Amino acid sequence: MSWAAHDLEPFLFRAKLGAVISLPLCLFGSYSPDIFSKWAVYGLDFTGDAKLVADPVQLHRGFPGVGFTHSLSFGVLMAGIILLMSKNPMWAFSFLLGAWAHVFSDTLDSVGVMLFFPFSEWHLHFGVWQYVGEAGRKEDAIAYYTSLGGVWDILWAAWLAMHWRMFTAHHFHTEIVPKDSFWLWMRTKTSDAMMLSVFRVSAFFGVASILGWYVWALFINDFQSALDWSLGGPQWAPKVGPP
Amino acid sequence: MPTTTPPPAVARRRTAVAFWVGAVLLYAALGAFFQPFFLLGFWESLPFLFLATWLAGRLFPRPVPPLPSVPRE
Repeated sequence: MSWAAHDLEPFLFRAKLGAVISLPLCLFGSYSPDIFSKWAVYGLDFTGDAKLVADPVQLHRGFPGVGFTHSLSFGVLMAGIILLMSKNPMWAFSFLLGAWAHVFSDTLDSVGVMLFFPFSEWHLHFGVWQYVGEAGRKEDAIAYYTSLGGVWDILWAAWLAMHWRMFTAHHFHTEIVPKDSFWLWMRTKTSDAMMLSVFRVSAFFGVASILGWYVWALFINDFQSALDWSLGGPQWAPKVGPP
Repeated sequence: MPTTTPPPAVARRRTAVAFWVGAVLLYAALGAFFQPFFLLGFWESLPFLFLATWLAGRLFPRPVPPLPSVPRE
């Protein structure tokens, strides 16, 4: 699985594609494959000892399970529902792009995704880093940020840093708000500071969490703290493949 | 030797960038060093960011341009 990449990818789409992207809907799409299952994958506590399901990998990426959320057809289906309900093609397209970005990012781990579900349960997986979600949030964080997964996040953050001006209040008010009816609606409901916070929160959280998790994984945790940028790393993690 | 002072707009922009870099680093440090409490969670970051945004608005006041009104159905 990917971590901060899911928070940052939609901002890059907005920066590169401009007003055809609704950032809130693209973020919604990017979060949607995991939104109802991640808590069950990790269990109720930080260490992963309070498990909720016997086979988190099956639940998260398999079928039976909710692995269908990590397929191309899930994005199309949800985007279709959004289009029917909102009559807003920009919202539907933005959701679709966010959901597909999530799906393709998750092909990089060792479990991968059922890309063509329901037509096939075959998993596309490149195995660039190990899937460690079944071990709980703590070990997953250490494994991800000491492996090439963390590098994947850094690439997105570095690319986004080149577009830092999109986070200024001026850009938000002149380029973002007038071009998306979501923000026009929201400004009738809440304050300017809250709108700016909602606009920035995923990028803020994504960048801060990369830094925080790296510091924690490398210098604070007492489990494994060495970087392992080998293909399919970290090598200490149990090998997990498609369910 | 004469020293050049940056124009107010440039100085303001630099201060604002420094403020936000500091805010990101502070939240990252909170998450790293008080990890079991903050868990570096998405929802925990929203009140922190709201506070930082509110503070930035006070420190670096910015005009909010008039926006088009919400179209009525």
